[in-house]
Amino acid sequence: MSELAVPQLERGRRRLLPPTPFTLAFSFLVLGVVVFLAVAAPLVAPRDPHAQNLLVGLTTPNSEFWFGTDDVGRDVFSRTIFGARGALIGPLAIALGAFLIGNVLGLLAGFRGGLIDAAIMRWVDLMYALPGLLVAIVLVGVLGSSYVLAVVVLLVLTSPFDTRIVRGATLEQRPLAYVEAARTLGLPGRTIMFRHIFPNILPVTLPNAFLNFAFSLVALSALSFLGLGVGPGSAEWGRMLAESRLLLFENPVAALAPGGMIVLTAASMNLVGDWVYERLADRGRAR
Amino acid sequence: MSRQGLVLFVLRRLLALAILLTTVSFGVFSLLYLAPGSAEQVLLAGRPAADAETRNEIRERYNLNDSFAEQYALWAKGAVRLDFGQSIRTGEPVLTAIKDRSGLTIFLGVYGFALAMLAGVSLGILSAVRSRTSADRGIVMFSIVGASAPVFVTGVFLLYAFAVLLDLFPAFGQGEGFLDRFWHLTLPAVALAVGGSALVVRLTRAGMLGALEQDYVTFARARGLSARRVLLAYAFRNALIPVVTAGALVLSFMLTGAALVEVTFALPGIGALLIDSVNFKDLPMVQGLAMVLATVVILINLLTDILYLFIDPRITYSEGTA
Amino acid sequence: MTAVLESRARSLPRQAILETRGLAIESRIGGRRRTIVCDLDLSVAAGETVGVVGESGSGKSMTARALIGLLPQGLSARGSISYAGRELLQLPERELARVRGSEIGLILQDPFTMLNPLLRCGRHITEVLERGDARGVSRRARRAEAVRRLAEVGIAEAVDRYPFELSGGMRQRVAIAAALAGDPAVLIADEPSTALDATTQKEILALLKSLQEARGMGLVLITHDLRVAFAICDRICVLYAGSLLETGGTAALEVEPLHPYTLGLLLSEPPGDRRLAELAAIPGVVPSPDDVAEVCSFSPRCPWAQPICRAGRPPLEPVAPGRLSACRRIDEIRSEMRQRHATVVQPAPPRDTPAVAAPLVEVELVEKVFGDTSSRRVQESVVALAGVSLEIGPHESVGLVGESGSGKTTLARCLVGLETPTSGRISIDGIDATDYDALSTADRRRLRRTVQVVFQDPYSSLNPVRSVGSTLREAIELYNPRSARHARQVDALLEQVGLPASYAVRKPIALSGGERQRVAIARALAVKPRLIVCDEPVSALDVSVQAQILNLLSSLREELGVGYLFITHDLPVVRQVVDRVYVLYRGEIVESGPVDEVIGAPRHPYTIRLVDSMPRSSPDWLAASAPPGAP
Repeated sequence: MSELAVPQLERGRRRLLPPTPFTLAFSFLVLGVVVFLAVAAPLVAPRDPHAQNLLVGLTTPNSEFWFGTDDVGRDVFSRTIFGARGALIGPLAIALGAFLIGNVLGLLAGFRGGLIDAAIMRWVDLMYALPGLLVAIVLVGVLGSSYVLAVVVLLVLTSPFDTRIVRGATLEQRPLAYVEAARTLGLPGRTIMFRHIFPNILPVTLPNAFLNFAFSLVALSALSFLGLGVGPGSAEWGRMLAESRLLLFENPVAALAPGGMIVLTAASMNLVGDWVYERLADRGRAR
Repeated sequence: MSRQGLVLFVLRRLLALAILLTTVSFGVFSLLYLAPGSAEQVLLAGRPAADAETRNEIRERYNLNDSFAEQYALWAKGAVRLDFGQSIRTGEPVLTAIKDRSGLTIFLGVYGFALAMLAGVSLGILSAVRSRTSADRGIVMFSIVGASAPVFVTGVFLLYAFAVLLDLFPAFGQGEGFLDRFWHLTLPAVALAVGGSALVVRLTRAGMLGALEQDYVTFARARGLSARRVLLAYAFRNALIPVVTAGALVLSFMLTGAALVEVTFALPGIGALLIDSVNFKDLPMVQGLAMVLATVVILINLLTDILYLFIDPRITYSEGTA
Repeated sequence: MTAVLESRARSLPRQAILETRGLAIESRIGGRRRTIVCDLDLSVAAGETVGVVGESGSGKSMTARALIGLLPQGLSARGSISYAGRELLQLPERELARVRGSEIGLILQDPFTMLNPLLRCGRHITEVLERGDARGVSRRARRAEAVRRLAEVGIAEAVDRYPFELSGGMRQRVAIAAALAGDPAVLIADEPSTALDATTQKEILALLKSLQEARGMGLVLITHDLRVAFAICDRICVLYAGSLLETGGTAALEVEPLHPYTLGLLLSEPPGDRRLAELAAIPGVVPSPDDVAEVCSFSPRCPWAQPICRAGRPPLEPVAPGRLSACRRIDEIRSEMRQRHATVVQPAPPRDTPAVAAPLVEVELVEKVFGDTSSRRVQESVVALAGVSLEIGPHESVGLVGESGSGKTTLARCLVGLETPTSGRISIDGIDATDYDALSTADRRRLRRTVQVVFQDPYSSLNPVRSVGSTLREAIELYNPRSARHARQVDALLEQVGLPASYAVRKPIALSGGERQRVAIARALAVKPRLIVCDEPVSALDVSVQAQILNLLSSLREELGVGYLFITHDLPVVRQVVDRVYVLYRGEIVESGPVDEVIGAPRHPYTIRLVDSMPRSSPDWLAASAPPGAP
């Protein structure tokens, strides 16, 4: 579909400033804490995240409710802790799924070329031409809100990006002498794709999985912020933010805590992704 | 590229665009049947449909008694004339509702886009020129946090800081007249721009760094050209393609972001209309909005491709290669 | 002839205009300090051409950058660089920018990356004219000046064209005009002709020489190619692992090098006019400057090295009138070196013509057209091969010579099934190998075991994530899945190509270019092929290493009886390794025959031009330049 033949556009790969050891350590700490909270939420959280307490009502942070309560008296602290679960599972599924789909389709399209390539790229181009999040909003909204549906829709919308990246990287590797030598030796295509090319494009594709995680976290929370994906009252960061944004004057923490967690988690994932990229790219460059 | 080549290219792209829009319209129309429940129930949108008369009226009005293909053809015929039927929720024609709401969203999108490009390009150039200094680190950190912060989170934080704590900007409302509207829409536009500029910074910085290490920059300096000329005519001009790519992405992002930011700031724009309609399952409205938004995004992409042509004389247009 | 010699002699005692004293260049990346160049004394006078000759890793390119104050980030220079009495290393960046372009100019190696792709060629010149006070000049006058400048380099018509519309040679002309737009007194040319075809290379060198003479300019020519330096320089400085080993007038240095490295370099350069029994390769690889900081940098590879050579860095000292050498033992070994020089260059006895046998490979009227071949877009298709026929006998070594775009690589790829010819027929060992995809698995396997390939680029020819051993083992297992002695076979292969068995565990990153090429050859040998297609296997290697690989290929042929299709642009190289040669020009074979006949007495105009463009030191070489564009 795209008729542009842009020479050397792909050559300028991402040029990153690797995170400092301090920011990197901080990012790992944040991710560690989020994972821990997600796993041990019932043990760590002081209260039931869904228990309403109309007697308490809306309160600001205090010694009993560290982050205060929302308008129906639910403990914001406990809700924030439980929110870590939704923030991990969906994005993880999307990142892994897109990595898998992207690598298989991208390697096939790039290495085999021809009809397979044309078919795969037609799909990718269609997805590229559409604004992803808007499609997700319409689809999830019309098909009926559910977390699983939101995850599946985002996976379908994310994997074309991976496919295109993997295909591009494969096309870069394909004319290299080691691939041509393997073809001349008569090695089967599978072997060349998965044992020779795959490890060499990993420096491009693996960091992308981290970026996908961060992107999916943001996108999923956006959907739930809009009331799509998870039900009202769920302990999910985007949903919590939506329900508490009108309480900014009374208990700002109820909105700021889940919002801050989204940013911290996504930024940490991005930073770790940059670091992974730098590590892998260095391995290939030192020749 | 010759003028004739350009015309041919645009014609080919318009054809591709028509095919793409047809595909999209098919998907959009099918929403009616993809939604849970029968088309009839969907179009009743949860209203108790006791009497057969109402049901028949619905079937008549939306041609539900025809075959799927005929229904699509009738719907598409209307869509070409921008007639998407009437909103189930309010009863007003879809097009009128979209027209009424679009002024605000366009204002917001242009405002946010201008802010994002201005900040993104200048910060990107600055961080490439001051590569690996603390300024660079700060800018890169900003772009990472900006890319990780959903528009609604940025919006809520801005609201808290500038409307609740400092009381500098109004928290809600869209304002009357240009200046007042400008004033009211500043926080929403900044919220949009933070996310957008993060992308622009990244791509500008990478493009500039890539260009600065090219032989042609060394050769330009070896001929004694001024640092300014090397930076602008050499590095920045060659980094312009990724910047334009980023610009197109940011513009599309403004549409998506509008939905989030309008909900956050309770602004009655197209984005908010889409969310309301989706939540109400107001299908004619959703279909109309989806078609309009998809068309805008596709047009942005077309304009970007044409823009590339004026930036880089090497870009040639041929079929089937990407 | 005498006039030229006189002008060369006259240029010697002139006052140096650009001069370095004790120049040292260091890199500091990630806290690690590395020496690139140390204690370098260079000078160039107005009207003089100085050649700085060195292999990769000698530090020659960074020296060029340092001379004009444009070292990349992380590199720094110490010592002294003086230009017309001014100390450049002390100059603030602002004033240095004024020196660049108008006092000292620089052109780089790659014409494809040197020009701004978004600016028209004329603009590259006018933007230089616009600097400083010249702003008052009208636009039209500047354009006229740009046309005049481009006319000076022979392509006035390029003024309104973009670089991407021009060939490499034309781009290099534009770059030269742009570099000279500020009328510098000294031009530094960093490998200006290396990326170009042989015939274009000669044109560019002739242009540089004539500009230098017409302008009375100082020219510093940085090159890896002694033959090129001999052809156009007055004086030559030999750089090795960051230090100068020898300097002297070109004529004297060519007749008698006064450093073992220079002699080694000279001898490993395959001569174009005869075939040698064996090339004199220099064993080993170029060390890093820091590893040889306290010894004679060439001592690890020098056949005459003695303990005295390892007692501190030898200084560059006068050894003859106008000659400096950094060899401590030069007086003792001078006669030995002279003797070796004389014996090595003896031509080998003519080869026996191999007995006529049924050919192993027959290529009949093969055509290959790239791009859309449908009639609608004829203008977009490229004819790479236009009906090529050739034969390769068993055990025969056949050369295929051509410049870039001649189709030589396409033919190689067709032979091994990486491309399918558009028409024509290829038959290998009795199997129709025109379309590999149409063959039965058994036939395809047999073909794979008959023909293998070695590619040009040593850096991409091995999978960087796999060890040498696993690369070779994979090739062995493919056709002997049940054999249990793979490890021993890997060792045997490595030994065959002259590498120790311990290399099996290494990753390609830990190997030098020459070593990687040896592994690539071993991988091809793993399936015991009868023919190896060698696509420019040595053109990315340094001369001293190139000779090692060429020697390896000849000994493998004698040992294993394997034949070669040797594809190259380099006539002297092809003369050393093949029996017969085909000359390919724009997809057609224009001449073929025994290699000595074709190169010794070429008949087709293109072959004549190709033979003529081999660099020679005789002063009429550059003068006898064919007009550009002629076949």
